[in-house]
Amino acid sequence: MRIVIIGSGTLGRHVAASFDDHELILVDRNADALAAAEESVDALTVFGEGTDRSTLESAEVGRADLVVALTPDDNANLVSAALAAELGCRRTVARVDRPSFYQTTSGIERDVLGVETLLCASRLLSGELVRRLNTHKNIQTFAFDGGRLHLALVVIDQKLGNRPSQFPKLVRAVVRGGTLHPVKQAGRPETGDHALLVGKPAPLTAALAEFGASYRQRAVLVGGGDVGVQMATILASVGSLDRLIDRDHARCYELASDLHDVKVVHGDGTSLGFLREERVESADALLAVTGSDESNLMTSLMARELGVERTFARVQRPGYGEVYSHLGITGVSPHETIARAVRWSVPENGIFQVENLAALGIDIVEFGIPRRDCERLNDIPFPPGSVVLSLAGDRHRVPDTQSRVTPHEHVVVALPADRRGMLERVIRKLHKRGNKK
Amino acid sequence: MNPRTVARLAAPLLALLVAGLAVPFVLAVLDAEPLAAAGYGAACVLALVLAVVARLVGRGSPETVYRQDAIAVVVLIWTCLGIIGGVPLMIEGSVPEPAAALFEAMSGFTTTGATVIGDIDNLSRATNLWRCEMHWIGGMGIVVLFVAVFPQFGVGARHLFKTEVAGPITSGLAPTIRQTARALYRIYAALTLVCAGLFVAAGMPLFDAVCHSMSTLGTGGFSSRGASIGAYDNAAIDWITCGFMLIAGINFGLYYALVRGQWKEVVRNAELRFYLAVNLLVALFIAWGIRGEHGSMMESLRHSTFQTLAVTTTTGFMTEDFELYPLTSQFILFGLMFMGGCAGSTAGGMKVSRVLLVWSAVRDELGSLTDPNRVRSIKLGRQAIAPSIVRGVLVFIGAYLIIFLASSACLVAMGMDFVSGMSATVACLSSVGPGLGSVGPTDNFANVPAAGQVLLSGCMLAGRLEIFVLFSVFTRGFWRR
Repeated sequence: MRIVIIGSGTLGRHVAASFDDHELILVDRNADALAAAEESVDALTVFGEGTDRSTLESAEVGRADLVVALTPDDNANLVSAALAAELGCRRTVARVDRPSFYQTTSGIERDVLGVETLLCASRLLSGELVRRLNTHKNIQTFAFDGGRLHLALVVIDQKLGNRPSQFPKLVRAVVRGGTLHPVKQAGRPETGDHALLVGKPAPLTAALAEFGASYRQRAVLVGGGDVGVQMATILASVGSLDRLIDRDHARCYELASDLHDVKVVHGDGTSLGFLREERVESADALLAVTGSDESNLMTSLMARELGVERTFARVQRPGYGEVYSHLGITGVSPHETIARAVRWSVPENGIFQVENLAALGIDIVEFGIPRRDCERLNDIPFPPGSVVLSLAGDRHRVPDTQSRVTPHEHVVVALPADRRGMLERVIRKLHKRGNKK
Repeated sequence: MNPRTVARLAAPLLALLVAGLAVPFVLAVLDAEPLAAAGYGAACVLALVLAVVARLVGRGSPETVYRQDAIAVVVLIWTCLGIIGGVPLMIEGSVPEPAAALFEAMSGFTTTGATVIGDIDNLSRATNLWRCEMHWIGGMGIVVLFVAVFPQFGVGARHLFKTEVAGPITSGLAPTIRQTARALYRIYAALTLVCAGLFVAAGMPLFDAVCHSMSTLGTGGFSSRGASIGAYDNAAIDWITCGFMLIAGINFGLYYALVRGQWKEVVRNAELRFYLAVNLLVALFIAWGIRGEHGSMMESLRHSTFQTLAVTTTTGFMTEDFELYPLTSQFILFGLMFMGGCAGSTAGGMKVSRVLLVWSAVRDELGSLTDPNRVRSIKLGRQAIAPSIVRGVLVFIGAYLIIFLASSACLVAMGMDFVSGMSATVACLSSVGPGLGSVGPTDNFANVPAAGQVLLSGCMLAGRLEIFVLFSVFTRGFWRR
């Protein structure tokens, strides 16, 4: 696949590295950034402004399968991506970080101003942080639909006291005795069941709390920027937010005015005394999401010192996440999150993502249908034993057999791992048929 | 720099050398030349053993290839090429002395074309083929061939490529470096085949056509005839050679652009226009100067064009002895030896783009004296060149001149005269081949002392690898792991 990446800064290079098995062309107006990129990525470099038609023509975007605009300038990204689409590029992705630009609250929007996919870094990052927050005890979580849809796998264990009287609403499938069942056929929860929950970040967090008191978490947020605001909104909506801390008083006043049901506290998150005073140790988790890696690291270390069991930090610099994990802090990188979202936006043979739950012998597959088609779920010959978990898109839908899948929606299906090949053949046929029309 | 990574990368390169040596070996066997067969067979075995050892040493080495590893591989492999390439010549007896054999092989691979062999007409076909094959491999580069052939993906291959194909402004042709390398070799191979075909059509025997086409496109200059191209005394062959020397001296990236229909980029290329203009003007000037020695102006132009292109493209072929030209013409040709061909071609020298950049820098400096408030940008045509690149070019030229002076001084100290010493140095540093004086077009380098031949071999290597790549190996920082 031929990919043109506009913007060869840290994010551009990181995304390029994730596509190193493809043909890459990097465009940037900064010669030094291009030279630095050449040191780490096998790519053709084009010097010039990504919003200039001549530069895009030099980069041959008309022949490209994907153009990704990742500069720090939202407007430039939109213009570059829209122009690339006009010049004939097959797919376009643009990074637009301004949350106010989006119609929905998710981090991805489709078909805006001729650009196929828009990505909001702060929303994607906050979604990822919520997912990591939910990954604890005997819960595994996975992100689908570019991070907009989360899947949680909960093992029901009598000893943990997490057996609810009935399965929460978001449970879509249950693995019992090594076999996958739709939740309607599973009856009541039993010890040893593996419950598969599917939903957007906030409802999923609320649903997990139904498994028991120990699953209800209260988190402290440090950092009132875009990411902090997104997280505060999500966590407050499900009663999981303890407080939001920011060191800028004017900003705190803005936050207090704009946010509802959020306790906003003014103070320095890197100060041990302040954190002690705020008794952060009573929280189940602390998330440091300021724009400074150093501050986030300090805050997390202080919180651990005070006894907060789980600490999370936003890590701007790629590759630092591993270092943080040695210190017992979960580092989450916006660059890696965006790179994953960009990677997700490019399906292979119609398949967007596959997660293998090896221990259970099942796969979760996310696939799309050809653009011009509108298939009924009933008409898709799923392999035996498959359970459709969700129709993911701008709205997450719980499907029934009569549901029609629109081209912008993706089907998320769980099936026995040994039948994945059958599903892949079905998807290939769907796309072949769709391309012929 | 990780020696095991270097060994791992060197192994397939040495395997390529084995494949190259196998060709003259087979020819020697077919021609029933036992000494030649023994020589090429022994060299094959030697290269194969070294390849196996390198592979064993390199097992388990890290996958990541750093810049220092790339430099070490390129320097190591080019040194091995010179040493191993001379083994068959020693065993066969055509060049029995080790220093001379090293010189001849290094001259082959660096496409210099300077020879220590006096009696070329009586060389075996295998050796004639090997000499020209060395030019062909060295012209585009064995590392480029390696990148094109072996699945060495990723930025490590890019480091290797850029280390061998250094230049003032390096830019790829295609998204992946492997595509770039393959594109270059396809163009190179196609041009070689066309050249050979035209030579045959003009009356050159097939074997000679194969040898000369490899030598021409590699801008080497080794010939299967003692009198070089002049031995044929054939105007058509002369003009075909002129045409392909000119082609070989042009940036191969422009051919890639032509193939893709981007002819405007070709026409607007400042380096190409300057290169063509210089060749035209000098050829006309020399033709006028030597018109008295030839029957017609056309005849005069034919020879002047040939010699001009042979020097500017650093090929070094000969149709007549340019030491018999007027002194002004000789001086101009001597000066052109420093310039060489275009960047991205198989020609040697400092490269036309560097000369143009220096000229722009000089104009900029003069302009700043008279108009200090004006802000200027140094450009190559319409392309603005970053100050760091201009600085790099000036440093390169300074280093080039220092090496030229130091090496010339050493050769003079060894007993060579001024003219011979200086011209021998520039002929090797710029990969031209023939110099002036005792190393002129009708002479050879056999009388250069052994130490001088080793020194000149080093000059050839430094010139081919554009100086800094070779000399960085001698810095302390390079050997830090």
